[in-house]
Amino acid sequence: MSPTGAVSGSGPARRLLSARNAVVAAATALALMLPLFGSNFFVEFVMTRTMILGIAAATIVFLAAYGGMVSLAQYLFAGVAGFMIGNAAVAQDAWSKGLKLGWNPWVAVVFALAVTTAVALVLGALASRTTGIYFLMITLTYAVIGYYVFGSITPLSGFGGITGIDPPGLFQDHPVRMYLALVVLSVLVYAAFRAVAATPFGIALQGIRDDPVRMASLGFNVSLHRTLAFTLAGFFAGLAGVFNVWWNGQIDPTSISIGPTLDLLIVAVIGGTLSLEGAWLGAFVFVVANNYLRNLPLVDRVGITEARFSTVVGVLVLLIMVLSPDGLAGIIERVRSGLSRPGRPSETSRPPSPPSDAPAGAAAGAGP
Amino acid sequence: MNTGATAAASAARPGTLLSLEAVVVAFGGLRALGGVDLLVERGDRLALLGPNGAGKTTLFNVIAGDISPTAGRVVIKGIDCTELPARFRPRLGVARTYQKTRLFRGLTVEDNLYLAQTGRSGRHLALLRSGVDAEFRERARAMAETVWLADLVGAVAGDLSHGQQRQLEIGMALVTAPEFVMLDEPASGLSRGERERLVQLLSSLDRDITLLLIEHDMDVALRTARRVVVMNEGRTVASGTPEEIRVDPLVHAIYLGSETDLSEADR
Repeated sequence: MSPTGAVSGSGPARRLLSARNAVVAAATALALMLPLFGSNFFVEFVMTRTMILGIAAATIVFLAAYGGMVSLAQYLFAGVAGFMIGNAAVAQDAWSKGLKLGWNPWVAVVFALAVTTAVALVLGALASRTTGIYFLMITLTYAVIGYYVFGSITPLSGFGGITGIDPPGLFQDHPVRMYLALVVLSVLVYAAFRAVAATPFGIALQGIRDDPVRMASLGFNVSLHRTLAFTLAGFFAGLAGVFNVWWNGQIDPTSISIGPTLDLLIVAVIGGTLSLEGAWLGAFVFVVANNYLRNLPLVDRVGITEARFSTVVGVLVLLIMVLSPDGLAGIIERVRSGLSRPGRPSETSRPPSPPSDAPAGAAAGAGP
Repeated sequence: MNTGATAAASAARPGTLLSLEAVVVAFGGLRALGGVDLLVERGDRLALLGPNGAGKTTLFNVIAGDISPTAGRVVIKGIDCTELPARFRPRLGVARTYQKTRLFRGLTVEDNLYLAQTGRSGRHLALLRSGVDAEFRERARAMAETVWLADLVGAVAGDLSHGQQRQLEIGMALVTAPEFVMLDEPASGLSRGERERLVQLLSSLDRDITLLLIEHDMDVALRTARRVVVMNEGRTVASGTPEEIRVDPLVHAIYLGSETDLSEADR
């Protein structure tokens, strides 16, 4: 049910050849070849946005699946990175708001990620003593505060936002390059999260997800672990934010308000908050629904126009919550295990678990 | 014989592992513990008996650091731990189990036993696996064998049967190589055969390991313990060897209604 970081007892070769990795590798290959046959709009808009949202949503999934924390602050961190790029990279003579420091765009990236990570560390430390609904509420509060901070502090942005943010020369006027870079980055982020989950730190994080009280009594500093995981997720959300602002060319407080914040959570829920792959799957479904809904035959006859997008997504999320709380990834996993092992629900990787009473009964029989 | 008299002159004595001095815990108006004195020597095998609501688990939580006492002192190995949070206990060699099993249900048996060790070592923030890690894994698998879970090292803890989860719970306490083990009703919900194995396991522990046990099962408690303390209404009311407790009229009076003759529970 929940993902387990360490696969005990199997060699590294077997681990690399798992069905899960094969699917991820195939999807990556397909994504890398997409510019050869996909339309410009599909590659440079739909799939590029999918990758950005996917990375940001993966940080939600990482915290939820391995740390048991559902964070609404991840879009804020993407926004913080975006605002920092905007302030640092826009040239002095540009007609825009912000500090207009005119730095080299790559220096701006380092600066933006450093600031985002530091903010995530501080906010994470404050939230780390809460769990469940309280953690959700605190991170929601962060998102709202972020909106007003960038809206009110006019030297940094103001509600009008920062415009005219150019990506570095590498990506300027090369949208396909940016898309390919995002595919590579997605794979790296995905691999990094999975690798972290298998480290001593990652296993401890999963222990905290399962039982923080026991972890404390075993000598773990629970809130430190939570804080560090939150900081790591904030860093990767910041990476997504850097590409987001390069891709959009502008950023304003509305783009990190409640609406986009909840959209990102919806992406994670559609994909499934217990599997990292689900983040990109959810992002794809979300972006495709956002862009192609009007093209479906007959939809305008029943009154579904672009203005009804939120309604459609709402119904979609509702259906997924009812049918599969683990999202699309959960549905795929169920279909897969149903196909590979007809009649046996248990997974291949686990030793067959005995019926729950059998050992107790056997022991009782052996007793005096 | 009462534990209260000896406890006051506590900490300095070299053989003393744990001393509680006039520990009071009040939840609002309810006094869960009304001034408990307790002295535990190194290598002691002590069972806490008492009816439900006597304050046994509260006493446990105070010793383990999950609750700070309203008044009084908790001294472990000469160190005043009264205000020290629970996560510092493992460094003093203290390990405990819980009345209701607290496992990492999404992790494998091996990972559960592995995690139990890393907390104390300070390795748990590491992003790289090291040689120490292999040692922990090795010990985790050995402990799985000790608690009869050798075939299930790769199984997810949440999938284990109740009895197996109790075994893992005890394994997680023992794998830390503790000096002081606190077991909260380890036999609850076990079949008779499993209880027998539990008594064997506890009797086979290293002689230096100090054991504090809460147990409702008289048979398990009196066979494992060398000393018994009886609690009632937040106070210790009697103390002695299992033989003395078996025939203590006060203890009988406390348990009256359920079991008048404790030796019957022995079967």
